[in-house]
Amino acid sequence: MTTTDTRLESGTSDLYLSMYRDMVRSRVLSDRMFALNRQGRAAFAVTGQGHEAAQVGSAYALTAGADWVLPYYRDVGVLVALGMKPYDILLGLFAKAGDPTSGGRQMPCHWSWPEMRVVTRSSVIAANLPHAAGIAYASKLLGRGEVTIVYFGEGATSEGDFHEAVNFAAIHQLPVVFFCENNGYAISESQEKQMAILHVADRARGYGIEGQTVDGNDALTVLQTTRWVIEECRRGLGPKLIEAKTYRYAPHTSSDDDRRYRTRAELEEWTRKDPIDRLRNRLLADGVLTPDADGAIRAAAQREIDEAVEAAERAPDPPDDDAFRYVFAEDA
Amino acid sequence: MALKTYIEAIRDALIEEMDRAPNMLVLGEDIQEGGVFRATDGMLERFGPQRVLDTPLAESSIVGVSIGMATNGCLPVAELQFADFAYPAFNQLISEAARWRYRSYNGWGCPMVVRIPYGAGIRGAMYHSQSIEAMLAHVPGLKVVMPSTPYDAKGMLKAAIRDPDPVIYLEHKRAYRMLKEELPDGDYTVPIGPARLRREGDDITVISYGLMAHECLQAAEELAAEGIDATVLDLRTLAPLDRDAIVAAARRTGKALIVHEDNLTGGFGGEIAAIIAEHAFDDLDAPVRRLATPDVPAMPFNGALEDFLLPSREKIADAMRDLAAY
Amino acid sequence: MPALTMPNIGEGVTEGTVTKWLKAEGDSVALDEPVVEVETDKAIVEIPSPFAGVLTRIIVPEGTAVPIGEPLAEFDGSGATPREAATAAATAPAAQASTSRAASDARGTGAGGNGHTPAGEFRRTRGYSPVVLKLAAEHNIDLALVQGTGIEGRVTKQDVLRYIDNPSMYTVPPPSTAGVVGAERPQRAAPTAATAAPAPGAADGDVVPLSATRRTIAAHMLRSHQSIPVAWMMVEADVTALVQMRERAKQAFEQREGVRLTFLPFFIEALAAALREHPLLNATYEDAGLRMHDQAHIGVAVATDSGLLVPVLRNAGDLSLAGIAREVARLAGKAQARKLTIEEMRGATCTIDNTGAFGSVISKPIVPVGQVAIVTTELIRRELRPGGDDAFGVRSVINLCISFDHRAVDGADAGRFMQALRQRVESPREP
Repeated sequence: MTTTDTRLESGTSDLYLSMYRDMVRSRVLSDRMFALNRQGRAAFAVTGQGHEAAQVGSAYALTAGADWVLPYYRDVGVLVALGMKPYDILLGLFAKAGDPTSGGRQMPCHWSWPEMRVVTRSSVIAANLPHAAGIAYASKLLGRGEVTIVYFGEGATSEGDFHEAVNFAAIHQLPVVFFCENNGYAISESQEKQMAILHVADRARGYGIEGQTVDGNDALTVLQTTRWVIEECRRGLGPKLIEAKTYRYAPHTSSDDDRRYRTRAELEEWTRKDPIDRLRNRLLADGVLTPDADGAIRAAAQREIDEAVEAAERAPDPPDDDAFRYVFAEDA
Repeated sequence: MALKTYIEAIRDALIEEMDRAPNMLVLGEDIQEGGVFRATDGMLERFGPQRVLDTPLAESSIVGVSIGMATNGCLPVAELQFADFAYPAFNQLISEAARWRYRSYNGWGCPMVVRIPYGAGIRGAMYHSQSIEAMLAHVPGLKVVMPSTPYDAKGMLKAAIRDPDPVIYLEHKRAYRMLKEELPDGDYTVPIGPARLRREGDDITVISYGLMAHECLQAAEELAAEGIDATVLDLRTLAPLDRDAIVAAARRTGKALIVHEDNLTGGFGGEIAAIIAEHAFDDLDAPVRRLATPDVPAMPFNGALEDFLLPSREKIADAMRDLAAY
Repeated sequence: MPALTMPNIGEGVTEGTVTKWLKAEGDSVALDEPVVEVETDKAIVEIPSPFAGVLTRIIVPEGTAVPIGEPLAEFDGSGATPREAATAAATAPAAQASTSRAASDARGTGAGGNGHTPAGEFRRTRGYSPVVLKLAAEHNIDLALVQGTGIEGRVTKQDVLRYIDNPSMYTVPPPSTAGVVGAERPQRAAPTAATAAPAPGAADGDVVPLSATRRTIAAHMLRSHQSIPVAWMMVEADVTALVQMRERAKQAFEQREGVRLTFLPFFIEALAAALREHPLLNATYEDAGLRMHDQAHIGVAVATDSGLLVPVLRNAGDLSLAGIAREVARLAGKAQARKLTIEEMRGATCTIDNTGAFGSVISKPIVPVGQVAIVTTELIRRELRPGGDDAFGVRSVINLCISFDHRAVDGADAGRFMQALRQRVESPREP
């Protein structure tokens, strides 16, 4: 596992504060989405508490709007970092007419956002990895400098599409980053049931590309590693695999009971490594953040999410006829 | 005008469209050497290896990367070597391509063509003979075309390439070199959707598509000499389906025979029959009939068994006679 | 010396035309190398050689159509490939096997079969079809009165449409009138009676499968029967002069022309001339109107071992008697040898049948679809007849019968036409 020197660079404190703010907003939003389900107000929730450093850290390495992003359903932090408003994410949670990502059709957190080149995905694990390879192939064929990043869990690496996509990208040296958020569980199946290796990154070697394992709870390490990898991609040095080791604090989804397969002791141990606490302590220690400012950030996030929930819940449902739209392109 | 085989018509469409659209590319297994049926013969020399792309032997990613390419400004035309090998790509076709636009509420489109050689009669046995159209036409969001003539093969492939949505282009292997036709020079398209009346007659109606439409037309000409005058409707496109043409053709004679090479149960003929039952009931003069390959899991390699199982011009003619006499 | 035969290149294809030889005599040909281009109805295909060797002789020239299985060319060299032998061997048992397999299909999968043949079997519904009921309601028709021509006497849509056009012609005949001669009506009971009980002894006897020719004949006849309202007429002609003239001329004619001089050419010549005078009888009835044909193409019924064939004598009006005789002989020979091409059987505008050849004195032919009349020439018999001076003498007389489509032709038209025909055969020209 790589541990990168994460001394704060001068002039970047605003950037780190911004990252921290987005991690907090992501956490508050995720907690709220789960609660809304438990209150019977949202039919389903899937969230990424615990993954914030991996998600926000990697997303901050991207050139938003130019680079292609294929998130998975846990990537609330990626979307918040790219600038999607909590209100819009919540419209998706409530499956409302104005849901900008799918018009209320997809389960929550299956985002599509053309303006930010966030590409639609299904619930089928790893199916979007070949899409990422294809997008990167097009970038190369059409001579564009953009990079594609695709996110997935370690369970996805058991799928054939993972193999096919990484292999294709490696053959053509495509500008694509395969970003694995390894939280140790594919729903209930621990990593030992999915693979006989310790590190997903080790798979990369089999395809002739470089794989790197990083501490996925260290936002600054994730940011620097992803930056470096994206730079390599942009220079035409081919695809890379990043494995960010992390842990999810919530069950897989609102329909899952993680107590059946995880001990509370294990959860406690990882809670002590909370990525948000870790960045906060670092920023406090370096004087970038004060306790007052931290309180203000958290209060602002709560307020923002409260308002967004209230507004999103009141938004109208799609009309019945809307179900027939966009099966195919409609004439202008 | 020039005499072209079915497969030359396909190749001409690919080449002309690639000349027209620099963002178009073809990809698949063995594409660079021309493909196993030689559909892409000579294209590597003309367009180079980036746009005439040999893929790894992995059907899911052939379609999967095509979806990505289509999403990022390319016009991919993928070839799956045989319909029998398309199943590994079904997740990409059904769960991804077909739902791409719908699930993103028009945020993304998938202008992709997947060419798939299908069909039996070439002694191709269990895994080089299948017809898979019913499974694909069942899926809203996919367009499924099955041209039956070289003219349509070229015009519909061009229309498919210019279509903003994913089009499954099913081409019968046995048609490749068997069917020849004088084709006009230069650019033309045949729209996706409308069926075509190949023949008009008042005694019975035969509805088919793909190579079987050709066989039905031959059988109809044969029966004309016996005084049985048939209407032959070639659907050409299974999705979106020209329901009005089906209903009108069935109404015209009140006696409808549906012919396809795919096996019977759950075959596309069932859908056609249901449309006729729902919308032409008052005009029916006989039970709607279906002629299809029997429900055996796959085509045996033995030639006599294959001939026994496959619908043929003779079997079609017999079925037409029976229906005419009803 | 192996021969390349016209292959069965598509199920149901019966013949192909050689459009182009891709190899010349003397060329060596590799196995599977395209050797000839063949055109069937809509497709043009290249036939790859089943042999490796030298093409020694082209038998079928370009532009010629031959049935499947006919030799196209001869080769020398390696002979039949394993492939060909295997195919030949495989075909025979397969044909036998299919019967039992079809039987087990029917048993195994029950109603409707498994799709292999839509005709598992048609099971007639007890009632009328939706469109028949709709038409009956719209036109206030008692369907029990409508003559049914479908399977098991079913009333079809076409039956109702014909009944609407002409109720009297297509009403089910009451039992007392069944069998009356002269009324061209199908001898068919009402549908209920037809389905009430199986015919006595239906299970007895062997079923002889229908040949393709038989099927074709059946389809033609049924279609004619269902679609054409036929009327019939007979005239008697005195052919004493004709008989005498033929007797005088036949020997020289045969020596000169190489074919026997029968009566048929005389009748055909007379028929062609009568048709020119009365073009209404040389027509096709179409919905849009009567299509009047410029030329008389006369179908000549020929009885063969496998059934009736009707080759066509093209432009009969332009031919001399000798020309007619030669063409009739040629076509009849090809018919007997089953070598007629489809072209030679297409496009008749009127038909003649020499039923007298079987001793018939009156017959009532069925009008072929697409024509409005068919004429029969019956047995020439010698009878005592009063002559011009009322003294009895032995005369040769013949009955000439005509069935005609009453939609197109009225009795008066037919009568005038038969009059013309009679005059012609009664005053023959020297051959």
